[in-house]
Amino acid sequence: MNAADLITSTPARRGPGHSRTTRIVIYGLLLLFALVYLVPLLVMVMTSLKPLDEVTGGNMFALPRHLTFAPWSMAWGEARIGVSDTRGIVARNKARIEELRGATPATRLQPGVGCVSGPPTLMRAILATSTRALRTKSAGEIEPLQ
Amino acid sequence: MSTVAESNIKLTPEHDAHPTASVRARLQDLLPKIVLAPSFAATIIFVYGFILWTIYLSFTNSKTFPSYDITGARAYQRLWRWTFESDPPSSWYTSITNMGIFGFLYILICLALGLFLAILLDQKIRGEGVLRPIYLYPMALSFIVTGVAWKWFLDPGLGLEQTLHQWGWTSFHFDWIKNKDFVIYTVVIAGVWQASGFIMAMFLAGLRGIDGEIMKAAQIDGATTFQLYRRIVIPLLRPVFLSAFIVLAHLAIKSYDLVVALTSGGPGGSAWLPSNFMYEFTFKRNEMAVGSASAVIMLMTIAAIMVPYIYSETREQNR
Repeated sequence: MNAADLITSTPARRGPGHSRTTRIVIYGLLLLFALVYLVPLLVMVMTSLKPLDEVTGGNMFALPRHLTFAPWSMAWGEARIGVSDTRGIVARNKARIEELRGATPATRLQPGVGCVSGPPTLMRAILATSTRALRTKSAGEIEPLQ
Repeated sequence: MSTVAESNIKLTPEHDAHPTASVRARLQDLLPKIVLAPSFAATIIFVYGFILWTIYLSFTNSKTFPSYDITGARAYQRLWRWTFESDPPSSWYTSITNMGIFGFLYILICLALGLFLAILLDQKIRGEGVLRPIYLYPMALSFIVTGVAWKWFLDPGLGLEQTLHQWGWTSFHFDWIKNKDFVIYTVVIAGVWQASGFIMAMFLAGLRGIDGEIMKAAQIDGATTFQLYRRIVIPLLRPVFLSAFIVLAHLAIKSYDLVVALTSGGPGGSAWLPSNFMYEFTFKRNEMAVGSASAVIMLMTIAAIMVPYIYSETREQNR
């Protein structure tokens, strides 16, 4: 008999029957803990079905007033794990990156970028431009790569 | 003597008569070894080889990239110095004190809660089949999902605090996840939520394995329910305690993703565990030697827990 069998087998009748109050306390505790274990899941599911203003402005436990499945289709169709943050930046700075990729004389580069050469230059340039892009526009506003 | 010689004579020609059969038999003998060889080789290289490589690196002066000049135990000396640097605490000091707090509370609360729920569930409960998976399902989630769910739930601006404020309890204050002194306790909450159901299942299996006759005998002798559990059931569950402890201890030492997903390291790295320290120093702060040294220390810690356990297990099997 393995552990799974032990758990699923019907409990052996044992011990004296509990009094009514004891039963109520036992069931109460069990249900309370069941609720504690379920709440994070329920909150996640309900939040995923709410529009954004209800998420940020509303109550965590409130049922969604306007049911939306848009986040689910977005997660399925659009989200790209690990690259979603950079593609907007790449699109915005495509010309500059292309320019840097070619053998560009240091003088033509932005001041502060063109002091070094080689692959690190490209990385540093992307970093510099991306921080600038993030400073001028919040991350949410960067349009996705077409 | 003669029988041995005869059988030898008899066997040898057969082998010669069917060389293909013998090749096939030999192949059949070899097949398991051939099939297992790639994974065996991979384990040797990628587990044990890289352990040795990490130990080697911890004695070099590696920074961003591995270097092969052995410079002695400098990395260990630095870690040793940082161990006592508590004002202001070094990130290594924070990591190991967090490991102590997290490991102790996580193991203790999981064991206590698991045992408590298992005993409650074992009282001939109606609907046990529904409750059991509810307690157990968090274990099926990855640490990242648990971390994100609890980050959301504990966030003062979006989660529990905000909700209770809206319900009218405006003096309620719960910002542990943003507080550098308490952020490690939120990791404990999320960790316990995830693992305690699994520990409950282990204890439940242990409880169901206890012979009902022993319980009946104790009851006839007039033991109260409390005495029954305190004196008979819990001592009988000792092996389950040991297995649960092993499972929880290695989960606690390996925890990395939970801290990252839940707190992103906490304010100023105040939620770091040694695994976070190792990652940050190796791959972000260009201190590969120090990172390797901390990894070796973690390995030694796990070995200190696992080796006595494996030793006692094998000794029991041999007996």
